[in-house]
This record gives sequence, structure tokens and C-alpha cells, in this order.
Amino acid sequence: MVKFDRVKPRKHMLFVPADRPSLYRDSVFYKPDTIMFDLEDAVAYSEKDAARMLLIEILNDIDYNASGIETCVRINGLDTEFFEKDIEACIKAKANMIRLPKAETVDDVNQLVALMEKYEKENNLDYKLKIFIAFESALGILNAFEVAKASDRIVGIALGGMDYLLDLKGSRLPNREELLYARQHLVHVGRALKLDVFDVVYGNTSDDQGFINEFKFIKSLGFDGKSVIHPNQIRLINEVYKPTQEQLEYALEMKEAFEESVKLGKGVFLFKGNMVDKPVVEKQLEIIELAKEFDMEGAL
Amino acid sequence: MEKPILTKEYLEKNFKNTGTNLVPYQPKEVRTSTFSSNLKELPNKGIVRDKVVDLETAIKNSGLQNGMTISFHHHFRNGDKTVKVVMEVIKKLGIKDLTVASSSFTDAHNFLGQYIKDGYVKALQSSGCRDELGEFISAGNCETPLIIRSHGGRARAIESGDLKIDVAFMAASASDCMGNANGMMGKSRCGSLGYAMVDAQYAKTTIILTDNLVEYPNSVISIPQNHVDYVVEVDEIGDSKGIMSGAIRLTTNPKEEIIAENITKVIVNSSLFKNDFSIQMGSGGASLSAVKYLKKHMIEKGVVASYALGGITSHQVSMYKEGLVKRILDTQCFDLAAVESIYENNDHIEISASMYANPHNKSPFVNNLDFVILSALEVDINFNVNVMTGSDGVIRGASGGHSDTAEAAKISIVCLPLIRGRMSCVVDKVNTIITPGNTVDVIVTDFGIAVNPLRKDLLDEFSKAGVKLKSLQEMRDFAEGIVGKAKPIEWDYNRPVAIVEARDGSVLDIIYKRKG
Repeated sequence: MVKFDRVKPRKHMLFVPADRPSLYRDSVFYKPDTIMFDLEDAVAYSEKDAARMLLIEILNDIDYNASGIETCVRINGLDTEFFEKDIEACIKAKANMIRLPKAETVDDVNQLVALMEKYEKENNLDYKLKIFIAFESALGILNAFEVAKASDRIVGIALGGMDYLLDLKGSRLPNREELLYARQHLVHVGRALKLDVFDVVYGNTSDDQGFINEFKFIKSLGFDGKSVIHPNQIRLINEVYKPTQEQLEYALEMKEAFEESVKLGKGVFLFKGNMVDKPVVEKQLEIIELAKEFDMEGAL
Repeated sequence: MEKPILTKEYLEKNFKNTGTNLVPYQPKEVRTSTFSSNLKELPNKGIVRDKVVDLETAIKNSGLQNGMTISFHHHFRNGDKTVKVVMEVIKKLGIKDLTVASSSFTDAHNFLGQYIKDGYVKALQSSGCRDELGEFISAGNCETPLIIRSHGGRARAIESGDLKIDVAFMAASASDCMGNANGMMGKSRCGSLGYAMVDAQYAKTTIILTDNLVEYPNSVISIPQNHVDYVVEVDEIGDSKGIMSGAIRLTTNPKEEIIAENITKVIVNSSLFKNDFSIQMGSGGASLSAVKYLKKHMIEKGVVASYALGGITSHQVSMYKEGLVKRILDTQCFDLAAVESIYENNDHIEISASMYANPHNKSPFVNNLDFVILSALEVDINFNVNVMTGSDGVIRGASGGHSDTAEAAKISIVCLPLIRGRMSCVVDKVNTIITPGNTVDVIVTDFGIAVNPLRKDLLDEFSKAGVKLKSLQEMRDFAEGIVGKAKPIEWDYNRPVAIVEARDGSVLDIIYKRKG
């Protein structure tokens, strides 16, 4: 049984082409929250079979979950001949999650779930794979709310930038302004359904500052994380996520004050001159958890 | 057959033809050697003479004969064009059975295999050996084992007389007619002549080869005329671009970035990270990447280093230019930015290999080092380090300043990826010990940091600072969980191909021919 309990928030999902054995091996060192083995665009038509076999072989061999890493597989779209075989491979590989590309309708999800159930049963799997949905078209974005609540397996949604832009007949703008509507829409869908929301990849892997600027921007919009195509981008995301020592100290003080107030049976309490209630405390507890993830002194 | 244990009896029985006194390595003892000069006869008696001659005349006048020892320096690395020119004349003169004791061998010296086959060369002594020549030696094609010495160990051997150089051939990018020479000026610059300085001083005969004869007296003197017998003008001594080849590169390899961050964690959480600390950075990708993280911390905390030591790259030069390092002490320039800098900046100081790391002089610079960052091919769970033989057992590396700085620096940090190819780099036993585990303080990989249990002070310091540590056993087990356990190499223990000396001259390990 694959029992994987998330102990940290999803912040980065690392794309790994599923036909590259050395990257399966290396990706564990980069400590992404989720590795997304890609059977879709990264794998040539002639290599799809080999990539599936490799996926099954290596995922049964390397225990990513033991290193706190969630495994996800991006399958080929519904409109391809590879769709069903990919799903079967995900089940045999005992992945944690499937990423469905180019989702547009509820029926897409239903088809996916039906096949997942079929192969989970055939392979006597005693857990259910989760689903991450990628929207990459105008229709998908407009239907996102209905599609994203079509199955309780769905834990997150993502924007696929390239196909979406082509579908819009738009052009890429310097600060990706053309994505603003889709980004804000998906954040609303995600928040409404309590799902994780992930942003598009940032293609220029040598532009660290550009990546950080974009990540800070999408984080302000409400995104949880970003799909990444280079391991160094994981470090950049962590830099933004990592609390400062001052933030941690503030959170620890509030936690202490909160615990004191609980002992006294108070619902709200005064902290540094401000009245504080439970949601504010919860935000600070999240900071302490994040600080633990980054091994920050005082949080451990 | 088990690998033989290095006892005095074993060495005496099996290595009679090396021409040097072999003593096994003892971690708690220091091998002493007696200083001696090889300059038994003063060649000149103060008379001014014309030193500029052609190469053939210089070699004839040096008295070079069958069975003698000649030396070279390797500052041009892959761009070297001097060794070949000299060896061709030696071949023409029919001088055979020579020992070639270069400070290192690079890809440019692959042709020496043929000279060994033809009998012109009978033995090699060096810090490093790579590529086709490494394979040639590893295959047991040279009757006399290669002697591998660290840079400091080589200087020690020359000064003590363990390595007696009959004729030193030293390439210089600028020399005057009397042999006042440097590597900083002219078309074929290589920067520091740190290794050459020792050879020139102690060889019986020193011949400078230059492609740039300058007006007397030369304005920068790395090798002085009082150490030089002859000056030979040649077309080209080497290609400056060749010095940047091999291990020296800066990368954004994600594994190396993680290693670099871990290296920085070790340094900045040490109490030695304060104003006027000193550091040597290796030439590997991870240690170079560590520079950018280290700079950030130095700027944030207002810390300035007193000196950067060793092989120098543009990264140390940039730290110097930014005021983060007060001085650079340079035995070898690893890129053209360093070559420019050593000529232009007074605080970028050329030092000899003996000043750098000879363990038996009155105090080498390594002894004042706070931190050294070193690369490795593999390490074992006892902290022993191999930088010489690959996973296939073939000689393809260099001892360099590895064991010198590991022993002398207050904190020696050895970095490497946990997995390379399909092999774990943390193993039960390294194939070849180049740097003994008792001198290595910290191992850094992309999977974590391990501190040598011998360094209880560091364990305490890092634990108080909240630096998470792992054991080497944990690292090995994790890597083997992914790539499995490698099948051990089968060696032919009846056919030694190289002797590894510790920096004090004792024998640390033997490299054997592979079976099959």
C-alpha cells in the first residue's frame, strides 16, 4: 500500500521527462514537494512505450515518498491514443497522483476516473490515486469550477501557459499580463474548492531574478506554487517561501501567547497591543511549520 | 587475494627500483627528512657568461645522460607545448631510461606513453596523471611504478633530496638572457610559476625555455638568474587558453548548487568565519559555486578574508576586487583572469609550491588556513578520500594540494555528489587513498553534511548552530538504496602501477593493475 501523508504544503512540482533514467535518480536530491514524471510533451511518440516501462520499473524501485516527495505522472491527453495505457502505467508504478493535461469538461474527469478505477481494481491497488488538473484552453478556464469539483480525488489545479496562449490567439507580454484573467480565475476556483493552485512554468532557467519576480507576483495573487522545469528553481521558490527569522520569532511569541490564553479559557487575546483571534494564530502556526521544513533554529 | 598491507617489509621487498626510500604512512607519526641541497658544484664561480643557447646545446651542456631525472612544470595544463619539444631533442640525442618528474601530467602529455615504450623514459613521478597516459600506466605498461606526490610533498621531496632533479626544463613566457623569468608577460602567459620555482632552485641544471626573450634585466622575476644555467628560445612554450581546461569551470548544475549551499552552511556556521579568516577554494564546480553564496554572507556580516590561497580563478580575483579578500597567494593560475591579476595587482602574490605546502619547511601558508574546500571522486565511511582513480580503477586525477591542505587547514571540507553515474560516491573503502580520513573534517554532498567524529569541537559547534548533520553510513545506505552496491574492482596485487606518497613522504597507498 502506498500511504503518503503530506506534511508540507505543495510549493513546487518538478517536471522530469519520463524517458530519462538519470533524472529519475537525480531528482530525489532536489527535494521538490512533488515530482511530475512527464509522459506527455517531453517524450517523443516513438519513446512513449519505453517511457511507460521505465516509469513502472523505477517508481517501484525508488521510494520517493520515504524522502517526503510526492510522485505525480503527467499523462497524455484524452484525445491521444496513449491516454489509457498511460493511466495503466501510473497505477502499476504506484504513483501518488495523475496530472491530467488540457482538461475542459466534467466528462474528461469522469473518463479519467473510470479508467483509474478499472486499473486500480485490476492491480489490486488498496489506495486511490489523486488527481491534479491542468487547464490549458479558454473553455477549460471557463469550466474550471465545475471540472475541478467533479471528483473528490482532485487535490489541485494548474494553469498550462503555452497551449492556453495559443488557444487565446494572444501574444506573450513582458510580465505575462495576458495570463492575468486565467490566473485570477483559477485562484478563485482553487480557493472556493479548497484545492491547491499552481502556476505556469517559467522558461528562462538562467534568469533567477525574473523567476523570483514572477513567483512573488503569483504568490500575491494567491497561488500555492509553481510547476518548475529546472531544479534550481526549487531553491528560488524556497527562498521566497522561507520565513525570515523575525517572522518566525513573531510567530513563536504569538503561539506562546495563544497557548496561555487557551489555558485561561479566552477566545480572543491581546498580543502586542492588538486583539488576536484563532485565524490569525493559525496563519502564524503555518509559519512555524514552514520554518520547521527549512530547519530554522527555534522552530524545531 | 586481499590487498597487501603496507608494511616496511612489503615495501622493501617489492619496490627496489624506485630510487627512493619508501616508508609506510603512520597517521600519528611525521616522517622526518633531512634537508640537503643537490648543488654540489657551483657551476659559474661568478663569471658572467652567455646563457642563451639552442635546446640541443643546452641539453648536451647539462650533462644529461641515460638514467637521469628531468623535470617540468605543468602550469600550461592542457596547453603545454614544452615537454614535447624537449623530449624530441632528447630522443634525437638518444638519451634513454630517464625519469620524468613533472609537477603534473595532463592530456598534453599522452605522447609520453610512446617514449616509455621506446625506452627513452623509464619512470614517471608527478602529482597527477590522466587521460591516455593514465590508462597506459594503469594497464601496467611502465615497469617502474608512477610515484604520486602532493604539491607540498613534491616540494618536500625536492628539497630533502628524495627527488633529485638532474635537469629542470622550465617554460617561461618572459625571460631575459640571463634567465630572470616569469609566466606573467608575453604571448604565452600562464601566470604563477609556483611549481617551477622549486625545481629551478634545486635542480643540478636549470634550463629556461621561452618564446619571449626580453630586455635584461627582466622587470618581474619569478625565477632568478642565480638559479638558471641556460636560456633557450623556442617558437611557442604553450597555449594560455589550455590552462582553463579540465576541472575548472563554473556551472549552474543543480546538484552542485545544493552542494555549494551546504559548503556555505559549514563555513558560515563555524566560529572561524570572522574578519581575517583565510580560505582555499577548489577548482571543482561546487566549490566555485560556493563562492557566490559565501560572498553574500560575507557582505551581509561585513566579514573580509585575509587571504585566498592555492590555485586561483577569476572567482577569487573578483572577491579581491570587491574588497572581500585582502590578498591572494597563488601557486597556479587556473584561468586568464587570474593571469591578468597576478601581473597587475600587488596584493596578488606569487608563491612557490614549497611556500604553499611543503610540510617540512619552516612554515608553509597552508598551516595558517582556516578553511579549504576540496573536491573528490569518492570518499569512504572512514573519511578517506580518493581523487586519483576512477570507479573503473584507472588513474585519472591528481593529488594536487589535496592532502596538504586537508591536513593543515583548521577545517577541511571535501565535497562531492552522493551519486555519480550509477555509483554511490560514499563507499565502504575507497579504491585509492590520496587524503587519509584522519585529516578530513567535513564531507559535504547534495544529500547532506557529515562531520568526522574526530572533530568533536565541530560537532558541538554545528549542533549548537542548528546545522543538520548526517553520518557517512546514512549517506552510503541512501545512495545504495537508489543505485545499488557497486561490484568491487578486482586488482592484480602482483602488479603495482603507482605508489601514493603522503605529503610527508611515507607511503599511503599502492595502485595496482586491474585484473582482466
